[in-house]
Amino acid sequence: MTSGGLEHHVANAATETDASTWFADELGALNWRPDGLYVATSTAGRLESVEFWRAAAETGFAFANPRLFPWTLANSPTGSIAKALEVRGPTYTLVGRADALVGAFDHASDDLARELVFSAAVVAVDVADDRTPSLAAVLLTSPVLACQLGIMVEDLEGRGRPSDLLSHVLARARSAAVERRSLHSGNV
Amino acid sequence: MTRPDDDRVVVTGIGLVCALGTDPDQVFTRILDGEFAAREWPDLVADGFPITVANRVEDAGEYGRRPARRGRALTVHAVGNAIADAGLGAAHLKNAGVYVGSTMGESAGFEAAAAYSATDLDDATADTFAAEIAREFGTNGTLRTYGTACAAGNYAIGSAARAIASGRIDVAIAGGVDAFSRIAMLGFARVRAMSPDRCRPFDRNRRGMQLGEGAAFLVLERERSATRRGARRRAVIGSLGLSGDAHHPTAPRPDGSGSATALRSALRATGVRANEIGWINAHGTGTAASDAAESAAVATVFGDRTGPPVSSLKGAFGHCMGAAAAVEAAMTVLALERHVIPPTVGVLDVDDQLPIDVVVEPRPAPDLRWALNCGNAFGGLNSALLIGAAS
Repeated sequence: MTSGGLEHHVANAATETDASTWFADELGALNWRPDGLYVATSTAGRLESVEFWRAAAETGFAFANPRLFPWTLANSPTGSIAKALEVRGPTYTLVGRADALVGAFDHASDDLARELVFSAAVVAVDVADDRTPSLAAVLLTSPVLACQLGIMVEDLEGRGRPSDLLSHVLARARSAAVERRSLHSGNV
Repeated sequence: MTRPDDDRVVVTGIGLVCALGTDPDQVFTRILDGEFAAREWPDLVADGFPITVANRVEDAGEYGRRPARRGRALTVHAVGNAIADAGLGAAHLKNAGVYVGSTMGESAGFEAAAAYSATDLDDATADTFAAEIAREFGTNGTLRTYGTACAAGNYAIGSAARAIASGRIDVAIAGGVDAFSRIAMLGFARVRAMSPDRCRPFDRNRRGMQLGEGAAFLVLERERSATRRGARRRAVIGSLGLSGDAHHPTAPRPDGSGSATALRSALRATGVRANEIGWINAHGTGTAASDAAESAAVATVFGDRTGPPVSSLKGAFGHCMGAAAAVEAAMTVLALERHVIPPTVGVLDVDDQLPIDVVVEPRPAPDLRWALNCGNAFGGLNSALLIGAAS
């Protein structure tokens, strides 16, 4: 049973399109292939929806950008990351803030416990502010750890901003990963 | 192995709103009669949309007063009817979980923001629907919102059933919603996924999907609880099978292998054999690529032209986006109750290149016990929800 923690903040990303594309590349470079992907998003394609519609109104509907449209859907970051990591198992996109992250952990831990998947990536797409989404990921292969993190997130729910909460989660995950690395070197 | 009966998760209430109506029985009957809701809309013509035919809910008075709350109005109507159908009182609702799927959120809110109108984007984001249900109906349980595009209704229902089966909650309100979205109407046209006239799933001359709108919600409970309070058990919810294509942002894997994995996963997790499936309520959008991939998936799992009959209902009430799989799940329950498989409305000339048995007329099915309700989506999502007869 191993686990790993990653955290990335994309300070200059204009939209989740930029952020998740970049992030998928970063995760892909790890050459780690989770069976399942569980994404919590508080942005849910809303910036892209506004941008798509505003641009269409300015250019005329006949010239609306077909490449931007799929990014108006909440699950586009999930699809992008799933493609980069070659995830062929379950992929979830939960919309909301702390509650969505709890949901992502719930689904990941449930699928791990039922052995529907043997490794899972839990990713959060968080609105730091309206123009700078950030992303964070926890890579899990242990239902026990997933449950612990789920409980911890529930404990923290309602405290502070979501990005603060994610920092707590990721600090715990990273700590756990470091501890486990000493026992299972090279697993993450 | 199938779960013991007293552990089953059952449907005790159904409520819906779609372009074919607001009464589930009447909507099902209209589908059996081959009716469809699509028509041209003058406002879309006047605004210069490339495609102007859609399946919209006609009652603008009830749902149209505040466009940025239209999805919530549809939701409250459907959930209210589902709760009434289930006969649930406030005491049962108090700890109910709320599981909602949505593709676009309150799209009119984003359209207003794009026009530089002061808009709280949080108020338009998809999780606003679950919050509205909790407020309106006094639930205090888990709130979950699945932004899993056109498969979102299946995700919501399957996840709710799983939460009940695992003992985390006792009662759930689960389904999906999307109000008519001008963003989606334009976007799907621009990615060349839409038909300019009729939606004809599995037809040789199919030209694409047609947009719809609506909301559909089911009340789910553990069978023992439902029996104890004397509720009508309308259907059983089995497992939700999921898979990812990891292939393309908008196109499915042509061989249907992702969709086949989802079908197999639903069967395996519920312990139902392939030969027990009596009907597949397909995703069936009417696009060339999606219908071909889905047909290939069915043939892979069930055999070439030897599998269960397949229908798509999107030719009747359009593609309801986040509500699609939920509306279709409600129709699946009706098919199981009435022992008849509804036809694929809109199909004129079945594509004989597709290796499946396409239902073109209502087909009596006295032995129908299990059906698969399918929903796939952009981003490479595949879902299959197993739904069974209650008795």
